[in-house]
Amino acid sequence: MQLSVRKAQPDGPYGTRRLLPFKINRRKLTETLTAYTFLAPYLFVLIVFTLIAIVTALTLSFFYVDFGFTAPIFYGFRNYLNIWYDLTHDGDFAVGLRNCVEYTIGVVTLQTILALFLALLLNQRVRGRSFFRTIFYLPAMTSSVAISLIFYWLYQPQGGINYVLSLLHIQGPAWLENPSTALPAIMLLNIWTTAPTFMLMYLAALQDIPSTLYEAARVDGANSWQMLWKITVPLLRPTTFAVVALGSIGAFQMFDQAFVMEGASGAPLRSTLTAAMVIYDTAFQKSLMGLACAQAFVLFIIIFAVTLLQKRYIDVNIQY
Amino acid sequence: MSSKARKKSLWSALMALTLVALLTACGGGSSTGGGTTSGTGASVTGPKNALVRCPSNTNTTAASPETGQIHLVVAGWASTPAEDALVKQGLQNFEKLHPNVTVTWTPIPGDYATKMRANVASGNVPDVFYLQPPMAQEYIPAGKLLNLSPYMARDHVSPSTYYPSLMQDFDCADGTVFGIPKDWNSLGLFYNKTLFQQAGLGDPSNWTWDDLKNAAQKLTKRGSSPANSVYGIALPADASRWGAFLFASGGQMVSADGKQALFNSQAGIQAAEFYTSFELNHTGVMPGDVGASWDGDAFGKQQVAMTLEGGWMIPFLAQNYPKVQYGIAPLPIGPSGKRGNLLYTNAWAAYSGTKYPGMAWELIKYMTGAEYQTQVLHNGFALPTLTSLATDSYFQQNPGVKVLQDGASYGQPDFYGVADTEIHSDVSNALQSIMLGKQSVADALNAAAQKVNTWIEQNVAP
Repeated sequence: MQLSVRKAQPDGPYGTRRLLPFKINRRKLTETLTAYTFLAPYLFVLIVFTLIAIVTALTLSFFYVDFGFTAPIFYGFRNYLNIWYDLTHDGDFAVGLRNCVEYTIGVVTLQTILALFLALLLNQRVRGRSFFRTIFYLPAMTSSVAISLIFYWLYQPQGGINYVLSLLHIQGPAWLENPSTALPAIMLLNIWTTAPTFMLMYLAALQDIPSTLYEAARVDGANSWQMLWKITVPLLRPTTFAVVALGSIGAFQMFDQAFVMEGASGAPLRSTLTAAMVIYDTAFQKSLMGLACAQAFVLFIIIFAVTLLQKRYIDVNIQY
Repeated sequence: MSSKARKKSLWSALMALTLVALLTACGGGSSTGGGTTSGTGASVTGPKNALVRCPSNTNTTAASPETGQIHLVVAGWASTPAEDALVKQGLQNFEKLHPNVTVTWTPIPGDYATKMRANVASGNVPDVFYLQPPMAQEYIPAGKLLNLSPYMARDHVSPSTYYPSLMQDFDCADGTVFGIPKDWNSLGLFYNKTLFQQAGLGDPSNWTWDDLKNAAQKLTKRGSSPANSVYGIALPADASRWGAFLFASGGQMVSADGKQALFNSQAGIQAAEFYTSFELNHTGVMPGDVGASWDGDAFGKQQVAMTLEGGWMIPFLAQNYPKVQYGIAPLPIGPSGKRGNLLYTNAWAAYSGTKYPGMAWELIKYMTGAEYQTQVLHNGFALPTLTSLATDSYFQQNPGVKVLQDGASYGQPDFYGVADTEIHSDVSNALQSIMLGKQSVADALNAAAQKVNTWIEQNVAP
C-alpha cells in the first residue's frame, strides 16, 4: 500500500504511541491498521456469513444432521459415498448435475455471443444509442421471479409464443410439459435476462481498446471483419473470461427460474432438476442437512474446477 | 430474521457440533423404550401407527388449565381468506370461553413445514400449531409434541370420537396420541352432468374400473388439436391420485414399517396400467395437455368430463366456473372388488415445551370439538373429523359432500412414513415416464421402488 501523504510525515499521527511491547516498523503498522479499519465492515460480514458458514457446512457434511430434532451423528465419508452412489446410479443429484452442464453450455455460449453482438452494435455511432442501451438492459433489472412468471404464461400450450407460431401455421409444443423442450425453454429465458449485464461489460471493454490500433490496421488495408477478428476479439479476451466465468458460475447454480416455472421436483421427468434444487430438496424437504452440505461441496468443487479451466484457456493476456 | 436470531441459531449450530463426541457413543439405543404412557391405564390410545416411533420421554400426566393471564401463540396457514376468517372466528370464540386467555393467530405463508423446522431449531415454537403428517413423523419421535393421551383420558375424549384412519397419522407405534385431526378431505369422481347426458351415460355411483374406461371412451371427442377437444378424464402424473387406484387393486405403497417399497407388486402394475391407459389411449389427459394448470381447471373449462379431486373443488368451481353442472360419485370399484381412496388431513398439536400445556389442550379440544367442527362443515370448507357429525343435516342438502365424507370408511391416508417425500416424487415420476411412453409400466415402477429402497437404506438414521 503506497500512501504519499505518509512519506511526507514519517512519524504519522500515531507515531508517539507504543502499541506493542516489541519493536516493529511503526509506519507499516499504522498503515496496516488503517487498511484493516477500512476493511473491517466488509471483513466482518465476510467472516461471519461466508467463512464461518463454509467451515460449518464442511463440518456438517460429515454428519447426519436434523437440526432441532435429533442430535448430529458422525457419518465420516458416508454422505460423500452416498453421493458417489447417486452419481453412478442416475440418482437425482446426477441428473441435476447433468442438466446443469447442459444448461451451462447452452446458456453461456449463446449469451456470450449475444452480449458481444449487442455490445458491438451499441458501440456504433447510431441515433438513439442510449435509448437502446436502456431498452436492452431492462431485462437484467427486472426480478427473475417476475420474468419467470411472465414466461410461464408465454410458454403455455395456448400462450403467447404458440399463438405467434400458430399464425405461421406451426403447431407449437407444450413447452414446459415436454421433457425435451422444458430445459431449452428456461435456457432461452435466462439468456435473454443475463446477456444485457455482460453486454455492459463488453461495452466498457470496447471503449478501452485504443483507437490507434484500428487506425493502423486501416492504413494497412484491413477490412472491418478482419479488424473484428484480429483486434477486437483478441483484445477482449480478459473480458470474455470474466463473462464466461461469471456466466458459468451463475448457470451452475440456477434455481429460481426452474423452481418458479416447474416446481421443486424438476418436472417433467426431472428434466429441469438442477443441482441447486436437489440441494434445497435434500436440506429442507427431506431434512438431511449433512447430505445437502456434502452435495453443496461437490457442486463447489465442480464450479471451481470449471472456472480454473476457463482461466487457463481463455484468460490469456495479449499485447500488441 | 433479525441478526440476533441469526446469531442464536448459529450458536445452537456450533453447540450442536460440540455435542457430537457424546452422541457418537449413544447414537443407536433410543428406539426400545418408547411408549411410557401406554400401560398406565390412566391414558387412552388411538390406532397404532407402526410408521412412527414413540418418543423415549414424554409427559404422562395431564396438567389442569392454567389460571392468571395467559398468552397462547397459535400457528398454521390459511389457503384462502375464508379459511383465515373461519379460524379467527373459532379462536375468538375460544377466548370468550376463557376470559383470561389471549390468543395470537400467526398464519405462516409459503412453505409451512420449512418455517416450522427453523422455529424448532431455534427453540422458538408456537404453543399450538397445525401438524402435517410428514411433520408428525419427525416431531413425535423427537419428543417435540405434547402427549395428548392423558388429557383425552381425563376429559373422556375417546379416540373413537374421530375417524381412526384420520387419527392414525398423528399417533405413534403404541397408539399414544400427539395430534387430533383438524379437518380433512378425500377424493371423489367429479363428473360433468351435461357431457354425461350428451354421451348417454347414467349415474356413475356404482361403476367399476371397466365402466370408467368405457365411459371415458364414449365421452372423448377429439378435434384438430387438444385445445378444441373434449376428453373423458383428467388424471395428473401424481402419486397423490394414483394411490387410490393402487389400494383399489389390493396393493400397498410401503411395508407396515415404511422401510420397503411395495408399489411395484402385481397389484401395483395392474393399477398403473389402468391409470396410465387413459393418457396412452387418448381418452384422458394430463392437465397440461389441454393448457390447464391443474385438473380442476381442465374440468371447469369443460375440456374433460371427469376428474378425481377433493372437496376443495366445490368452492373453486362455484367461484370460477359457476355454470358447470357437475356431480360427485364415489371412486370406481377396483378389480379386487373394493374401492380405494386417499385421505388428506392435518392435525392440531401442542408444543411439548409450552408454558401452558393445560390451556393448549383446552384450545385443541375446542377446535376439534362439535361446535367448531360444525362451523367447518357448514362453511363448506372441509370435512369434519368427528364421526358424530356424519349424520348432520348438511349432508342431506349436499349429497356430493356425503360421498366425500364416506371416503373415510374405506380410504387410507396419503402418507407413507419415513420415505414419504421420496415415494411421492419417485412414483409421480414413474407415472409420468409411463404416460409419456418413455418406459414400460413394470420397468418404471421397479426403477422407482429400487430408488426408494436405496434412499431408505442410505438416509434413514440408524
